Amino acid sequence: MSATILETSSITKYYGKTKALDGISLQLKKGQVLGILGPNGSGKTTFLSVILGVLRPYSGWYRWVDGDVNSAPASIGALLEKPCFLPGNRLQTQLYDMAILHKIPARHRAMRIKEVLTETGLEDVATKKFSALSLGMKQRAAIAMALLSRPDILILDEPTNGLDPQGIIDIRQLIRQLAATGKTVILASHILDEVEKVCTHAAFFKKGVLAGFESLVPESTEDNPVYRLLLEVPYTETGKLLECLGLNPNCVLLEKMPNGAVVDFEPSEGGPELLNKFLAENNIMLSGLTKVKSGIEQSFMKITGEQQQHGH
Amino acid sequence: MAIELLHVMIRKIVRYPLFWIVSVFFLLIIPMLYRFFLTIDLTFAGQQINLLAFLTPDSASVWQYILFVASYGVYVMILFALSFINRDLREGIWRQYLFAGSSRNDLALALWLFSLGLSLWALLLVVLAGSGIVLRQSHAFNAADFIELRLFFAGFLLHYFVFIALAVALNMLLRNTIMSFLIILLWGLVAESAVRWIDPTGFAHYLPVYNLNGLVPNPILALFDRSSVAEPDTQSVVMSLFWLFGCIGSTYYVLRRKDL
Ligand SMILES: Nc1ncnc2c1ncn2[C@@H]1O[C@H](COP(=O)(O)OP(=O)(O)OP(=O)(O)O)[C@@H](O)[C@H]1O
Ligand SMILES: [Mg+2]
Repeated sequence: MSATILETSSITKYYGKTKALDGISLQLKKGQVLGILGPNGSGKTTFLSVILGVLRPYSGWYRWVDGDVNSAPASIGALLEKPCFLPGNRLQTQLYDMAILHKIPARHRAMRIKEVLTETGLEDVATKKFSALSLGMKQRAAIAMALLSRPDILILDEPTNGLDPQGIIDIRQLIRQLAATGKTVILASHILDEVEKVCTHAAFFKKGVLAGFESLVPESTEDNPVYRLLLEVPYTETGKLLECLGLNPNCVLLEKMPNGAVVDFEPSEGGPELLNKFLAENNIMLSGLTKVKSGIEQSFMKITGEQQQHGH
Repeated sequence: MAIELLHVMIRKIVRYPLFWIVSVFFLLIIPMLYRFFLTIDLTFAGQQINLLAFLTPDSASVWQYILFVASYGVYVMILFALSFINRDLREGIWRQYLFAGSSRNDLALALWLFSLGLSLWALLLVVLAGSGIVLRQSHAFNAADFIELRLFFAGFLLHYFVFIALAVALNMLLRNTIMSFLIILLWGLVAESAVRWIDPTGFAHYLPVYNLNGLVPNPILALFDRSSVAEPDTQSVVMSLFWLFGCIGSTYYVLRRKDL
């Protein structure tokens, strides 16, 4: 069991009379990449701002590993909504300012700045004023700022906003690399595909409520593969199916549906056909058995309502 | 941490064009204010007083008068302080400070140090501009003046510090340069005098601007009033310190509680 990095409990936040967050409780473990999904205005940015200490919660609390209750972690890489730079100052100079604040020793500062500028593809515009950068470059600059101190925790609010296709690929690659080196990443996005591609867990926000939380990677090992399966039966059989699944020790129920269920199946040997056999022995005939990578799109649509559009 | 924050703030102030514009303006406006105040005729006990003649022979008196006149330049420094702070707030720079590990306490501390630093800068500019005036006026520069007038200089510094802290405290509530500045300007030049005029004896004596002005008294009026060298009086010092701590406390409270 890895260590808990962040715990939040019933966080509520109002803007005037608007309730932007309503009792958000979740936990994040070291090395996880959490994707926060939700339609526009569902409270993603607000939640990230609260756990970063920028906004004060109205009630509830959060605690970062080794931190006090309701206080931001000591040093963190973060990108919130819009890039935070002074328009009239040079990119390089502003990164240097932050390098001072991050207590990067003076002799390493220039080197470190060059590194992050290269990682984000901004070497050529280092001496430009921030206002003279294009939209995508500004976004890259914000990512460079977030990476500057090589933080263990990275919080990115729609990081690929405004990036070109190559930029999007680069940033996703970068996030996966960071996660692979054990960094904890929280990523807010309304692009399902993006979360699916880089995250290990997804939290669904809807009108300020945490409407769902799920793992996108079944925790499988080489010897014991875990299959995520969509089981379908006629409506009338659903109750029986659920009952029966409860009897199988290798089966974890993830989601109930009117006409079936999603399960993680971890047989000691063999494959999904074993579950089919087990159910047949109990007089349940499946009308469908599908391997699913993750049910993120379905979950999203189900949780956030039908009329939502999701793009890109 | 507040030290690094101060380091970064200084780097940013130096890069901010408005800072140099304000500083040059400040240097120019002191001689102008000085001349302007001298054109106002003073009558005391039915007598016309020639201020110029009064000041001419004595460089210490000229310095006192310069400090008194320059105390009105505090509004220029306030305008700069507010626009600097609000630019950072608007562009989300304070958020970056938080991400970099500064606490809200650090931010509050950095704000007071910023107010104090700006007051010291104003003092330096006044000494520069004043030296020019003194040389023109009395044709002699006397370093001993600074020692003789040390309380007067300290009063001037405190006047700036408290005044800027007052404006910063108000601004942390309003977060609007123009609004905060206009309120401070109206209060300092008009509203508080009006309150004092309506109720000359009561609580008006505890209001901030009255006491802040008491830190840098008009040396000539004071001479007639008290027939002694003008110095900041005890009540002004005590009340100014009271207001200073009030402002610092309020800024600290607001910074801890509010969204950034
Ligand atoms: N500064 C603010 N003042 C008032 N209301 C706000 C403010 N910021 C956000 N809100 C409201 O809070 C709610 C949540 O907003 P938030 O920005 O957290 O959503 P989001 O999930 O990040 O949306 P998006 O996908 O568009 O970025 C919305 O109803 C929004 O109208
Ligand atoms: Mg948002």
